[in-house]
Amino acid sequence: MKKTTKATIAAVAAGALLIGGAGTLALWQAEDNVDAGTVTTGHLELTTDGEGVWTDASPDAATTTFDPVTDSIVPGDTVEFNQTVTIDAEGKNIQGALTVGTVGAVPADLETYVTIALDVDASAEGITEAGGVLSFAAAGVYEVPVSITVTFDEGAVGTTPNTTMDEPIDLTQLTLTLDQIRS
Amino acid sequence: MPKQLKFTLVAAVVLALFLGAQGTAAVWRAERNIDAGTMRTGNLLLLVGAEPKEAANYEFIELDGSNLVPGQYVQAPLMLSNGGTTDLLYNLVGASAKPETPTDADTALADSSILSIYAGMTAVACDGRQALSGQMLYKGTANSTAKFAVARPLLSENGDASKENLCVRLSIPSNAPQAASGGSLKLVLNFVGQQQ
Repeated sequence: MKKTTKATIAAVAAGALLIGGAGTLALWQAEDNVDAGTVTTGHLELTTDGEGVWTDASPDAATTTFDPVTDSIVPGDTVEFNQTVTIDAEGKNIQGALTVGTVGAVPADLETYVTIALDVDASAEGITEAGGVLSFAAAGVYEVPVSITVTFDEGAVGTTPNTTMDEPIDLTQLTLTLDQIRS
Repeated sequence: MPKQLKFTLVAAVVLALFLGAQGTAAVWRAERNIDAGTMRTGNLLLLVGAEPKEAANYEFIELDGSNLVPGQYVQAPLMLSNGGTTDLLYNLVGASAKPETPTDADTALADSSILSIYAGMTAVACDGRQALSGQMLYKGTANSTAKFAVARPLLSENGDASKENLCVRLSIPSNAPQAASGGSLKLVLNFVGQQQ
């Protein structure tokens, strides 16, 4: 008998013994189903509603209207872009923080003098705000007014350089970000 | 168990924990772009001189002070205007009647000369040797402390309120010292505009 034939026979025998041994482990087993329902993930979505509106919030402004196409800002000015955003939040422990991304909006000559900030009106029913974090009392859709404020510091007389004149502030690509927060 | 194997196991556990922790930080994020347009900063520009030669640095050639003798004067209109986008207040912040390298005679002449600046006069009314009228803004020596008592407003809007005509007179009193004889004058007026 060839060696390969012997090896094949031995392997078959070992396999048969193994299968037979496994069979001897088939003891009693009982099963039952438990219905724990279905768990669904929530969601956190952000959309904007309609066109935003610019206003002049400077304390000594003659009028509150502001048109960025025809009007320009000078030291001491504060202008606001008011926009309503819709937050669709669902999740037992869902919380979020709104921020505005302004990368590249303010040119280098203005960086020391012009700031862009976001103010969130969290007075809508069902929303609470603490430390910049919005909490939602229940799943739902919330209309949240936000203001993007552009402030040109007044500074002391003669301290604002002329290089800050006639500079553009590009606010065409502002990014509102709503990040889920875990406390 | 060999040390190397132990170390490998510990490293694997730490890596697994780290990856686990990374997973818990992957909270949701929603983003939305807002196009709020582009705005510009304004500017502040005080111009001197009548159109079309107005400039930030204006050569006041209309005031020709050559060949003046004691008791005489020269005068000429000087227009100041707001060429910027912002309302401003301007003021005189010093003057000088001396050439850049003055001689003793130049200094004596400058120190004895009298600078008068009036508002409320038209350019025509200021021509020649007509009498000064309107509001006197300054009268005295053309020195570094020369200043109007109250800054003057110039609005940024086009129109009369955006410019003002001044009548500038430089006179040599009849009692000017003999040391001023042969001196020459070079009048320099420094104005500054501040955002209103």
